[in-house]
Amino acid sequence: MTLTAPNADKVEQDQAGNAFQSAERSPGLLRESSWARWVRRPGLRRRWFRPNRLVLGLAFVFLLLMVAWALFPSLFTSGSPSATDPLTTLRAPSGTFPLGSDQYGRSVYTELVYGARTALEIGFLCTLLGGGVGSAIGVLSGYIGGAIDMVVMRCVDVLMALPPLFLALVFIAALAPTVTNEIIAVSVATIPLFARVLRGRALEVRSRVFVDALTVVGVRKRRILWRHVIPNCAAPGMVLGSITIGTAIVTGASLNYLGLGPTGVTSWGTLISNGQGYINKEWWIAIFPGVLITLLVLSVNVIADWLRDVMEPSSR
Amino acid sequence: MKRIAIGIPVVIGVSAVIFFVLRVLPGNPVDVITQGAPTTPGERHNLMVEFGLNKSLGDQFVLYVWHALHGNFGASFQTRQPVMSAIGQQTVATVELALAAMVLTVVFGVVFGMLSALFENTWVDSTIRVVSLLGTSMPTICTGPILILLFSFTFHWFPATGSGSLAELVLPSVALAMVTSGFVIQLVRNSLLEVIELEFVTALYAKGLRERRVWIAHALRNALLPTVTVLGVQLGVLLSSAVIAEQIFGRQGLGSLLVNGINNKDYPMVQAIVLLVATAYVVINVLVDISYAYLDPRVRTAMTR
Repeated sequence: MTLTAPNADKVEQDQAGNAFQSAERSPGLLRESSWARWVRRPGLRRRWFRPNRLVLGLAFVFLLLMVAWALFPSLFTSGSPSATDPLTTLRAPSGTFPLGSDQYGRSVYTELVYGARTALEIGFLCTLLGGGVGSAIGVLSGYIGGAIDMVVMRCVDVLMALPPLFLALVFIAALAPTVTNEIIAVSVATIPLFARVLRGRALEVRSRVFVDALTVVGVRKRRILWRHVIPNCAAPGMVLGSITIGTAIVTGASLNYLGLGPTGVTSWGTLISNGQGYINKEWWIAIFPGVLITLLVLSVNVIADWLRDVMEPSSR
Repeated sequence: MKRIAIGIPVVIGVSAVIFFVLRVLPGNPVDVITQGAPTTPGERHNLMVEFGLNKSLGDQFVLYVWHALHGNFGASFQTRQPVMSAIGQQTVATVELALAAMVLTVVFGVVFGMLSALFENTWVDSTIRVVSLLGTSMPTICTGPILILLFSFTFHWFPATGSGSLAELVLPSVALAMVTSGFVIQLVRNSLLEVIELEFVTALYAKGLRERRVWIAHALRNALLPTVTVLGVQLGVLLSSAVIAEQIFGRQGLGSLLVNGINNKDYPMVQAIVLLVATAYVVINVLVDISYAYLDPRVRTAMTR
């Protein structure tokens, strides 16, 4: 899922001041009705959202905070995410429980801090693992071409016929519910997209004239692959990877929510499902983890967006 | 025709993938079913025979495909009932939800996409863009509880859980549509803005058409073409979110059946549901391809040539 506004650069132009009169630029607007002209008054033509510096900075800060939570949870909270206490159940947010407590008397804040590790682990590891395998398959298949390419791509077609969550579910169904297996399942779900996108890229790179030139000069195929094709595929791979982190986090949280994740691990998804029965009065149990997931995915996506602008200027 | 021919091997491939992933990877359903109860090796063997797990993998697969072709997807390991009867009852509920969400997605997509394009770079446009961005970044497990909290417990507009009445369909389908429509809104907006710059639009204005007519009758029609393709893909997102939405909103449907099946290693159930979803996904995308040809005369002529 891409989050850019492909028109962003157009807006940028407007911002640069060369024309608030885009009405003159575009023939379609030659005959604007008066109300349309009214809303197009220069004063109203301001940009509301575009991953500008401020938003981007906030996204980075938030992501770093989450990484810090994941790495050193004990620095941010003194409590334990698993210690239950029948005396402090379902407390509203207060001094001792900044974000309230759940039905087992655990501090929601503490659980959120410890849950960050689960979320980021799935987000980053699955992207690395699934993205790595998928990219390798895609690049090789695209570069080698021929019958191998055809067979591989038919297999990818088959995997693509399953929505990613379902692909992960099939693996979850077959494997025991452990952290490793959950990561494997979500990783597998990311493979097909990587394979397809990077195969396209590899095909495109292979067909460029400079590759022919290298072949003519006598460079071996393997060397072309390592020194030229793979580096040229790195940028789209990284862009796709940065987007995938968000999807992987969501898939992982959804699996945990459905109760199909590992048992005994603190995660935001589990917290939401725990809090669901209490949403009427003790809403803080289910809402806060949801907000956190959204913010995390949003910041990852904003960063991904920026990364695309930096790495693939042509796609803007 | 060619498109349909491509779809069939894909569906067969999917069934093979599901089958082998479930059987080859470690984990024995007999352990789960006999959980807690002491069993003798003989009893375990009997169960294996009953489920057909004692045969070789190849034989199992051939049998599975053979039965599946006759519409028999086996009996559930849990209830011993044919899975198709259990699924049949639940499919209606899921299809209902998916359809409602799809309709909402299209309505949101067209209405807000068009507004966004009409008011390009104004606050209307920015608000729509920010909200749709938020929608796509917000997974169903987050929107669900928020919608319930707001609209059932705070405002008491819609019931929080249950399935059956139309009112109970509202919140889950809105939750689903929020995920999918953001993308559609953006697409409609951007393709509208592209179309509106084309020469034929200038010609329409020159001809003296009113702005409203140009936008709705001509520009929107052209701009919707790419949207149709995306809707097919979005259906995949929608189907997977539907499983989750059904759990959140306590609805009947394939979701709870699937989650139960996975927890109990009920292979026939999981196989049948996943295969059903995959088949639906493939069929609809083939239909989308075909409809595309009918909607766009350029593609139609290219195909007949």
